[in-house]
Order: sequence, then structure tokens, then C-alpha cells
Amino acid sequence: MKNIDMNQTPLKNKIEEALQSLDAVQRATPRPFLMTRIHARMNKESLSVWERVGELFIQPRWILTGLCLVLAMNAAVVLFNNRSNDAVVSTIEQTNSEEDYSTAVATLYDLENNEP
Amino acid sequence: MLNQPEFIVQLKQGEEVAFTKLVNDYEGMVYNTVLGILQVPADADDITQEVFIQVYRSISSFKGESQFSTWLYRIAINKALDYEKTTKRKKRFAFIQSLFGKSDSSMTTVPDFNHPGVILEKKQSSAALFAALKKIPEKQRIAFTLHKLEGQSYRAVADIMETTVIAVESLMARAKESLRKELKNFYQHEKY
Repeated sequence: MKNIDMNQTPLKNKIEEALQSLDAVQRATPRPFLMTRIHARMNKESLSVWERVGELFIQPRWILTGLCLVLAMNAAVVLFNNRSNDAVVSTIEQTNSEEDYSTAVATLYDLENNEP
Repeated sequence: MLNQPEFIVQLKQGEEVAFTKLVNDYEGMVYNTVLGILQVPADADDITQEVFIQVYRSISSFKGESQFSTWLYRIAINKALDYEKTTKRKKRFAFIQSLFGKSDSSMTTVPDFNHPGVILEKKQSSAALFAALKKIPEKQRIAFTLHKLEGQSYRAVADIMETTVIAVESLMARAKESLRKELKNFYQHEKY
């Protein structure tokens, strides 16, 4: 019991000491030139909507994203054009080959009697 | 301090001189209060700037029903508490991210805070007190900070917190009790 008391007293003293540590505290002051920092902040915050949008889009990540988007769109256009050219060419080739290998002989009789 | 009615009128008219005087006269009060709550000098500096910008922009909403300093204290406390909540939310998010292997090194815990106004012999015990302050309920912490750190009377604290003097007395008593518990834990783990 005596041991516990002996341990408790310094602990209690420490606690009370900590609780009273702010008794003669001085007021903390901010870094110098607070007014200048406030002005700079106010100027930054008073930018127009377009200026803010402009500021947003000059960030490297947005520039990079935009660049990737433009490149992707270019690649898509090139690919799309190549595919449609291929399709036209293959249709023409198909028609030509059908005509080349056709066994039907177009005669004047066929043209005149095409109605049932 | 400033002659309030004239000063408020000047501020409401957007006079630069009045705003400069406001910042010069009240910067210590705002910064010290915010620093007591946040315990990070850089954050306290940031929030102090925000407080003055808000005062400049919303001075028209000040009706003069309370002291100007009371109104200013309320703005400072609200701003500091809002910032603290945002920081805590970010820390929680960073913790979740760290569970998935994405850790943010900037979200590490804040080291022991030493208030610049505390005398050298008391630095160690005040650091323990500030660490304990972070763990007690918000209202108790605000009452304790305003009374002990800002030297405000119970009457003034009651005005700032929009409560009664009896409620502040009760808050202070509970704050001391909570702090004793936290300090006991702290010192027992520290193996003083």
C-alpha cells in the first residue's frame, strides 16, 4: 500500500504540473507579414471564373490528358478512314470478280423480256 | 482596442485602413486561438488568413448584438474545427488507402506540439497537456483553450460559446477531469 502511494504521488504531481503549465502562457503570434499573405490570398481568390478555369487547365496533368485525348482522336480518325477505304475497295473488287466469272450472257432478248 | 461602431462602419464601407488595423489588432488573438485548437503552426497561419478574409467579406452580417471580439472568436473557432474535421476525414481516407497499399507520406501523425508562449521549464509538461487536449470532447477543449490559453473569463467564454456561465464552469470541471485521465494514461505509458 505504501509503495502504491509512493508511486502515485509523483504521478499526481506530474499531472497537476501539466495542468498548470499554461498558467503563465504568453500569446503566440503569427509569422511576420500576415497582411501581405492575406492580400495575396484575397487576390488569388478573387480571380474570375474564366481565370480559374484557365488556371485549372494549365496544370500539367490536364495538358497531358488533353494531349492524349487529341492523339487518341487522331488515331481513331486514321483507323476509321483506313477501314472504310478497305471496305470500298473490297466491294468494288467483289463486284468486278462476280462480273468476270459470271456465266450469264446478257442478250437483247433478256433486256426486252424482263417482265413476267 | 478599436472604437467599435466607427471601426465597424469603416470596415463595412470596405476601407483598407480599417481592415489593416483589424488584422494588426486581432492577429494574435485569432492565431493563438486557432493554434490552441489545431496545434500545427502552419495550419494555424492558414486558418488565421481565412478568418480575416471571411471577416472582410461577411462584416455586413455583424449586427453588433455581441462584442466584435466575441464574433471574431466564434468565426476563428468554427474555422479551426471545420479544418480539423476535414483533416481527420483525409487521414481516415489515407488510412483506408494504406490498407490497399497506397500510402500518403504527407498524412503522418503530428509530432508533439510545443506552444511558443510556454516558458522553457514547462515545455515538456505543456506538450503532454496539448497531447491530452486533443483527446477530450470538443466543447470541453474549446472552453479550456479559451480560458487557459486566451485568458478569457468564464463570462466571456460563455458569450463566445453561446451558453451560460454555469455551463462553462461545468465544462471546465469536466475538462480538467478528462485531462487528468488522459495525462494519467500518457504518463503511465511514458514510464516517467
